[in-house]
Amino acid sequence: MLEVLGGYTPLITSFLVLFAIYLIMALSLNLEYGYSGIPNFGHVFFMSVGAYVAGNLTAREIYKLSRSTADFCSGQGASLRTSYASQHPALAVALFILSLLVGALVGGIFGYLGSYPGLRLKEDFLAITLIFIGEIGRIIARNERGIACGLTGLTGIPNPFCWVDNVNLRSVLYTIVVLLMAAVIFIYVQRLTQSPFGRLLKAMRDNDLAAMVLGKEVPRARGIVMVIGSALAAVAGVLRTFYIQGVVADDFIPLITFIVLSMVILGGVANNLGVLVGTLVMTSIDHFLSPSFLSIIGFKVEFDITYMKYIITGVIMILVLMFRPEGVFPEKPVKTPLLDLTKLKKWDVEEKLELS
Amino acid sequence: MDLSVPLMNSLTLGCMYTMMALGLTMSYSVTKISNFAHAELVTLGGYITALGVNYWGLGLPTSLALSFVGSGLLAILMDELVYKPLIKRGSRPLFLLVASIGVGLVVRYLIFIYADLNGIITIQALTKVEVLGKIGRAALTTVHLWVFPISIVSVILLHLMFHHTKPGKALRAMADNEDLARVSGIRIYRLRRFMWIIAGGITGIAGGLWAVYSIVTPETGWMALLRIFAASILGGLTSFWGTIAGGIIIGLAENVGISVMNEYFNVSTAYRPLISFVIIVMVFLFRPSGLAGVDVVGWVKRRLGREE
Amino acid sequence: MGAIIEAKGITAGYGKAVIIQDVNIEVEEGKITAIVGPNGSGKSTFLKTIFGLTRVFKGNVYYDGKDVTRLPPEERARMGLGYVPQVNNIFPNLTVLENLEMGAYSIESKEQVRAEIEEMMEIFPILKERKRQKAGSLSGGERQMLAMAMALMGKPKVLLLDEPAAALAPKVVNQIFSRIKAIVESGVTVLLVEQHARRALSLCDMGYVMSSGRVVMKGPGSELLSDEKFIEAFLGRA
Repeated sequence: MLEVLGGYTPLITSFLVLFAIYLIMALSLNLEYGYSGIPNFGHVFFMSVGAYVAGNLTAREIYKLSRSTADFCSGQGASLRTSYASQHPALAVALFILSLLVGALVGGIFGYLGSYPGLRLKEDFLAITLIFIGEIGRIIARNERGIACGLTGLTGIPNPFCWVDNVNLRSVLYTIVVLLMAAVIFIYVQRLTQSPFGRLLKAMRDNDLAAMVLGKEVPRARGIVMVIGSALAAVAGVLRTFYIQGVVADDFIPLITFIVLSMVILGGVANNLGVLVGTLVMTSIDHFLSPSFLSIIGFKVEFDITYMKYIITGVIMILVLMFRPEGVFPEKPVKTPLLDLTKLKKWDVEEKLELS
Repeated sequence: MDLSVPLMNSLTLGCMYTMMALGLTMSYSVTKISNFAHAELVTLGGYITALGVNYWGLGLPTSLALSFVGSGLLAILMDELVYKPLIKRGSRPLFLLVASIGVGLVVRYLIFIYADLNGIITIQALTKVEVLGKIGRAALTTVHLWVFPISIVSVILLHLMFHHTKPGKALRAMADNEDLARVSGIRIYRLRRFMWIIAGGITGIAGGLWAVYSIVTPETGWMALLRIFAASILGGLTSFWGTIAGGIIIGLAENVGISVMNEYFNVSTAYRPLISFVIIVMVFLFRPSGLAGVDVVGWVKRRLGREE
Repeated sequence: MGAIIEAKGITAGYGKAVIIQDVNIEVEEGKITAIVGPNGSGKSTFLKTIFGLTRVFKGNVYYDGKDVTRLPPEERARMGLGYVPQVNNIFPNLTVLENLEMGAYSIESKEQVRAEIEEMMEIFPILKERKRQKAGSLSGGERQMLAMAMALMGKPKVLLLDEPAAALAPKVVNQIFSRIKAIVESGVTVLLVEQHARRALSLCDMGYVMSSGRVVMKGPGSELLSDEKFIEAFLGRA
């Protein structure tokens, strides 16, 4: 099969990996924002947490084991790590798995901390705060060399399949792993949101009165959502790190959250399948509107085509909000035997009762 | 330690932040939109002034005036095309925020494309900068001669407008209670456009001054947004004087403050933005109304009363 | 003298919710019309509908013979409609003086505005005392007076009052109601919404009773007051 795909392999694998990573980000943001009404527009920060964990855990361990004398952050150190890892397959895979677990854990912890602003702040102020939390995280990371080697970034984080000789096979294997993870996460999130817990989240999101009645349940539920959502974002961060085999603080900018947000809004708020479609659409735009792809098909523009990508993202956001705020695939009503009264606002209830 | 240079920077930057923040406070108090595209009003103003001075052969005053008009018109455009239609459809504040992010993306990257095509991703208004004197170790230049008077005059004019003109008072009424304003016969849509011109305009001039003081890129506005929000939030997003105090506080904290932290606690100057952020969080958590409603004059009077 | 305001088949509310249904009410020029009824009967919503502050699903509102159903509130104000809301009826961050100026917004001439402010301060002396104070610092009764003065500043032909006596001390209530009588005597039409049914009906020329969003009774105030059904159903609760 590899022979058939041949030269197209990098194109296909890069698209699929990008798609899978974005999908995990979008599903977790949908959980936080779509289902629970928490506008976590600092979502990219939790992705970065996973990335830093993966980077440091893997690179430092290899650095130690290989008794490397090169400078940790240098390119020389990086290539030494990569060659060491390719001679120790079990280590490469083990570090990958460990990074996923630890990354998710640390991401979850940060997520829990990040749920505190939500206790006091109203929706748009919460959004502002969370956006800026992400920015502060990025600024700290780019200045503290210990986190990700500052501005230059930490490289030499070997792919778990770096010991495979065939480059194409390597990327295909990794792509399969990433896609599997995305599929598992999709199933998990879907089951979570269709469960009683999911109904609780929607009730909290839609009706302040119900929320007050539920009292202590609300902050606890929100905390749980932030933990899960942030852990998943961290997983996406880990996967990304092993894919590009490096981590740079300045990669994790609010723009990424906004692109992910547009996937959620476009696809359908609180509809996981919709989010899948939204992610597919936006990933295609992201992937095919990049300089590298366009040069392959020979399409040339005078300016950096990436700009166009962001303009389209912005336009999509605006158009969806204006003409179809529920998204292309609207939220499905909650499946309960009785009509879900907590979803109706006070007046609607009166109206509905008056008709009888 | 000699604080004259950070102090000078504090005042200069503080003036510009204050103008930008006043624009945000104005638009928020009347429309209740947390407008993330406010950043682009700064950037556009900066570019217009830089282009005017460098390429179009206009003097600095004309270029700044053009920035006022340009950003003012952009502000109206954003509202008419996106915000007003969304409000008519009953959008919540959060949706408007998301929409403003979208608007910001579109405008910012349109500016990027224009700048890229013309090779001016980085630009600065090239005015003749002369050193006029020294205050301590800080140089007083012609740039300061533009920044200080313009910001002070702008603040005075705004205050006069809000308290001594009919439309100004009507804007304050709209900020208090839009329905009641309509009931009193105030034509809110006309007034809203007026507000956007002034708010956008003053932000544009601030951007233009920035272009004189430093370089402007398509990201300039976005990078300043954190400070602008911080200054505005210190004013509870609604108070005129609170915002002014906010702008000055941010200017001081980010220059004098960081210099002190740098000197005595070895904190890198790259952590400057942290200060604004911490301020935002503190205000939101402990005193959401910020400095709004703080009666300095009354407080002083009472203290004097007690001392007698 | 005909009906200066006519509501025909009005079904209105907010957002997707219907609050009042199929309401037909006429307000005679130069007279006091009162709408009474229990809490939640839709009286305030009806008043807001006359001014254009609600969503109209069905029906029309006519003012001075013209169909104003789609006209924005500020244009209706400029046609001579005045409104004193029950709550949020002043601009808290503006001074008392500025509030009065806003009430006269549609008047071009500065001298005229100044003259009217003088007049209002004669009628409501408390406002003169507090003219430079922020309206937000006024007490409930003072706010009510300011709100009424603001509405009168525009020299309205019709004045809509939403529960003017609500939550006020009895002495102030008397003042308010005698003020209302004086306003009508000066030629202004008054449409009044009240929970103090007895008071409102004894004052008014024509009364309407609303319940659960519909008009259930109508007639001259004195008749309604002596109607047994009415007394039993509503005055017991008032």
